[in-house]
Amino acid sequence: MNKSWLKIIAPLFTVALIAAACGGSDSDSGSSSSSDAASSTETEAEEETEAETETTEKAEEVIEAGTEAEGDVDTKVEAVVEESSYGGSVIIGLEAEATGLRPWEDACSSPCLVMMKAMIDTMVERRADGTYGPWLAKSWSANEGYTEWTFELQEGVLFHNGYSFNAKTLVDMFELQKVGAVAAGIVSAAKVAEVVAVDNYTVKYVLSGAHSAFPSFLYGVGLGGVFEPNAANEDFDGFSMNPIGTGPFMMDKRDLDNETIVARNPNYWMSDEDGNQLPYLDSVAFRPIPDEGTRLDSLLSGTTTMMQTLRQGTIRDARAAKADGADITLFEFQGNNVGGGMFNNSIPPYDDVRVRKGLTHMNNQDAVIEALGGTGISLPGSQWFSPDSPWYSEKAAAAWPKFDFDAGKALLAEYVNDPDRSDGRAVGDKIEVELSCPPDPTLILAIQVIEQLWSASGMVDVNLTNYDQQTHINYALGAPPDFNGSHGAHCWRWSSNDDPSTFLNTQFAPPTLGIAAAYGLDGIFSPINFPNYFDIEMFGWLVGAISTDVFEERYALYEMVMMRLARDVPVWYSGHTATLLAAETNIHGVNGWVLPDGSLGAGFPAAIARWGQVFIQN
Amino acid sequence: MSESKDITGSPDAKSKGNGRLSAVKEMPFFVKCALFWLVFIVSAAIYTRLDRLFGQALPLQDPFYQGFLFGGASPVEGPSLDHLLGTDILSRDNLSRLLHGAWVSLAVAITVVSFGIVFGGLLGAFVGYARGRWETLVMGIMDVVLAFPPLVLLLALVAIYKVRSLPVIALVFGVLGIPTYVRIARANTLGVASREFVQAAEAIGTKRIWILFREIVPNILPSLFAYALINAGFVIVIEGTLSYLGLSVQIPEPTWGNMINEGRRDIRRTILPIFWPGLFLTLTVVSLNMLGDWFQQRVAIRSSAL
Amino acid sequence: MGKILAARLARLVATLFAVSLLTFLLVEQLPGDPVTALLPPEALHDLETMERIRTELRLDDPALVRYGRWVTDALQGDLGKSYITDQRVADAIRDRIPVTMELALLATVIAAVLAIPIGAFSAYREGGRFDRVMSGFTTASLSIPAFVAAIFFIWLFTLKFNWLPSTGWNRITDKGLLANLKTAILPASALALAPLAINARLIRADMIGTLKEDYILSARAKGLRSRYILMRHALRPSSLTAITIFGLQFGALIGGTVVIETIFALPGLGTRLISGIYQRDVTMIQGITLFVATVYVVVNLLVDLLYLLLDPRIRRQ
Repeated sequence: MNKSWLKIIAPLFTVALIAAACGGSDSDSGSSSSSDAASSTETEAEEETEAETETTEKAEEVIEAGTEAEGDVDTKVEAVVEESSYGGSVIIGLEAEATGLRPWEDACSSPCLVMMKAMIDTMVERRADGTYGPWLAKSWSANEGYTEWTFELQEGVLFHNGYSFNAKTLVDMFELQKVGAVAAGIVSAAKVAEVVAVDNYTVKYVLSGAHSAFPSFLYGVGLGGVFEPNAANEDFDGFSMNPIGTGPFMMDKRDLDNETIVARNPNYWMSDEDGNQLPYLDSVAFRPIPDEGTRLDSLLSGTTTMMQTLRQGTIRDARAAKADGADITLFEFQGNNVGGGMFNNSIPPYDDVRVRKGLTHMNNQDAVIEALGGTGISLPGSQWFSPDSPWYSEKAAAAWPKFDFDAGKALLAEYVNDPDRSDGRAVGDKIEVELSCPPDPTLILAIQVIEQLWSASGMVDVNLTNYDQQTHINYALGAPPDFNGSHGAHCWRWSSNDDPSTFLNTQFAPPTLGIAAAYGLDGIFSPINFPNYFDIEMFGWLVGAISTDVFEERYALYEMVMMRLARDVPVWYSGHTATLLAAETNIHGVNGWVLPDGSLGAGFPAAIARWGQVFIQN
Repeated sequence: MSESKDITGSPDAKSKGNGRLSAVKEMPFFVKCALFWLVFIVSAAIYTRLDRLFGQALPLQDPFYQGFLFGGASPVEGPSLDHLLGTDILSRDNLSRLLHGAWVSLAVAITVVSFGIVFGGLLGAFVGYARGRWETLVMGIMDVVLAFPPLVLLLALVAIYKVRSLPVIALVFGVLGIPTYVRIARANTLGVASREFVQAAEAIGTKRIWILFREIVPNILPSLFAYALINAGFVIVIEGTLSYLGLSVQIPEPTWGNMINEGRRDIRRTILPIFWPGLFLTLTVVSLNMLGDWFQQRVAIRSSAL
Repeated sequence: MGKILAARLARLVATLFAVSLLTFLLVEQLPGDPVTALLPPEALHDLETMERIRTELRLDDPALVRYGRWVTDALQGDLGKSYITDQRVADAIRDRIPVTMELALLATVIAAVLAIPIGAFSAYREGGRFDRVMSGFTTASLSIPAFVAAIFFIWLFTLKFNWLPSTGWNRITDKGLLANLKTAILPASALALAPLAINARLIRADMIGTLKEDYILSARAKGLRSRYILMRHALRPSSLTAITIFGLQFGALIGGTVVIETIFALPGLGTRLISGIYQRDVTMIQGITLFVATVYVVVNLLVDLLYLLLDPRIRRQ
């Protein structure tokens, strides 16, 4: 076996893997969306006293619109934060415990990021308009070919353990990131070859190839999460229990699976617009409550003061509770992340586009969303971007094979009656489809709906399988050297609110070395091309999109990619992942937090709060 | 929950059935109800299998048919004439799913009980009668399996080996269920072997294997049956638990446990999709326990009457 | 007595040895490369990591050698490291065992405390109305699956009445006993149902026997008050059975808490086992299984010994 290529591609792996499979809208992405993508019913809540009917009307409006509540988004931090607003604690119920809190090493999904963001600052942050703005990096610039990116750093920033943050920190961090279970994949996707300290507060990222959207990689905690490298080197495993960052809170107590408490960092580097030292809160307590119903219930009964969910059914229940008079604010968000699945394009019968397209036509997206309790909450997907995203393409939406039972049946019939059908069965025999999903409570419902729809065609035999998450991913991935995977059709999640290059470029690179060689792309191969779908023309567009930073040019290229995916249907979409942070009404600042340059931040994408500017006001 | 280790009463009467019907007549009212419920569940399970055999031609709703996709019902409906027990989250008929779900519970329970009685009973009788080194070895092995709390070993096995098909799950349950039967069979055999009729048979030189099958096995069977009834209830609970955790048979096959699991999401709105399978599970186990208790008492009375 | 003790201990060692072998084989028999079973998928493509782990665990040694090493480590309290979370399995167990222990203990106590009066009065008025009602109650509480009861409790006491929290755990050390009981009482009650029924029945049966003994009859004849008889005379000898049973139940409950902890999201051993199962964290599953089985066996032995110690008939031998 050739080990050298494995060494090259191994790191690529995690990027999409983590983003795609691990339940929830996992990626450390934020929102790319404009300010109305993030919604807050906060203002409404304050006006509510007048007439209760208004709230219900509003709620109905929301449902009709099929998207998030169109509450006004505060354009600046609410009112002036009085001295008296200091203090207090938030207790938030999360959907799961974090497996680990080392940004470079542990795959961090939404609940984990809610915790990590309290302690770990990132290099850049996302603004409400979808662009990237300063955080620990003050400003940045690239050379002409986008192969060298220079960042100016904030000065006078201290880590929780007293060390100061400077250019050398990033150089030392990179040593760990290069081999980090999570960060290595991002390093490779971003093509980072070297990190150089230009002076004490200037650092240069040298790339091995052009990447016009590089700063977006420093937004995610995997590569952009700043941790104290000395502490990490001293106690590699222990860092997970006691992460040392520059964030607004420091680890106070970590009681796994029960409660994690972080306390105010008195030396935090940020202050608000009026010069008040941040953060406002004394502490935040995180409690993993896996069961959706009890998590909402804990908030309503006051056991917790805040909660997150990534399940549409729970959002529905939270809306209903609010309509019934519960004193809570709902921060709903709908991002690019879209649930659905993929076909293994390398094996019959999925190697035939008629089967892929036929099955996709028969996937009643509205029914799947209804089964998940998300009608009027989650939007059906037609591409890797939600309608709020600047990358969204009407053209691709129109081209996507929407639910059309008869059209689907006709395509399948064509395949079934084709004497040369690729699965080698006799004309008229049923197509055998294996649909595999992790045993997630909502997916269990969703796949039973899809199974019914496909079976109803009378031309498909569907076998469902449910294996644990790890096995699920292993099956999708397959084994060396081809990583073809043993799966047929798989539940999967696609996309995030990050720059499209961060996921699309790796997920549609040549799936095997053989294919790479056939197209003269020696060595460029990606085992995380799970659907094993490759189109050389499309790959060219993807490469083109990271060679320019002109939005219109990039948009045109990604639109072409989406059109190609709609034509060949290697993957399918059900609904976009709706997320919610719900809080008692005296908790403010979840929305409307600002970047150091005063611009409005991206709110609470994927139910991930930024804790530094949250405060309690009665 | 805990399998009481004390169920080693040693009734040793020859169970000459003095008429099945008269036995039913002797039952107290509640035990009759229990028997009735069990008969109902068993017939339901058989009926649903036949229904599948004939391509759902028998009068019963399709347990997989989702009304909200193709018309006919909406999710979580209350009871109506069309759906006597309402519909579940995917608008499938609750009653039909409950009846179909009975099959999985029964299949596992029946496998465990028959494995236990046939293999466990024979093995226990053999080592209990033969004694010696075999006895030490076999009982040692049984002790090891019994050293694991029942659910934990099953969980580990099913999870690590990714077992999902009913026959294999039933097999795993069946094998792990054997040790208790061996213990009971052995303990009873020890009692029976010291009785006069066995010693008499030995004295006149009857072959030992003959004694084992003619004298001992029939005499330990009643107590094994009594335990089997109670054990069946226990097994149904364990299977339900695994199903609830999503570690038993593959969906969409309905089981009482996975119906409870699926219904949990909407517990804030209605408890009905959880209530029905919970009720079926509980009633079935109650019935088995009551029947088991009754049977055990009968066995005990008969043996003391000897 | 000494002889019995030695024999029991020898058997304990033999059983534990076999238990450990079985737990080891559980994973050893997995098809395919053991490294692939241990590691999360993102590590599977990194041949270097795989090689490192292979050397670290010395997986190329014969199975018997590895078993020996595993057992030796386990004896020293090292059950290996989870390759999913990088946590030491022994640490995970140490952190979680207090919750599981408390639950099992509390359930045992609830089952015992409620069962004694139920059993005693049922026996005292054998065949009376109380006895019949209680016999129905014990049959029901014996039969309702713990996880069904737990969900029903949550529905009733949390969603409908909002009396108690349905999730979370207040540690005694942090928040005090009262706050702790508030979070522990629902799960412990769900766990206690079955043992409660068994206890009540056994105590009843035992008492019926005792009440017919001569010395009780003579006490009655002397005109002693019935409650006095129950407490002073009848309960005493019966308590021996009870102690045995409570002990056995405590052992069984250590395994029985698995589902209940999961339903109430408690930071106990069971939750860790189940999340290990969902993550396919083989080292964790193996470690917890071994630990639970060991506790189960040891508790059962202690109960046996206690029985020997307390039973005057045996002690005299």
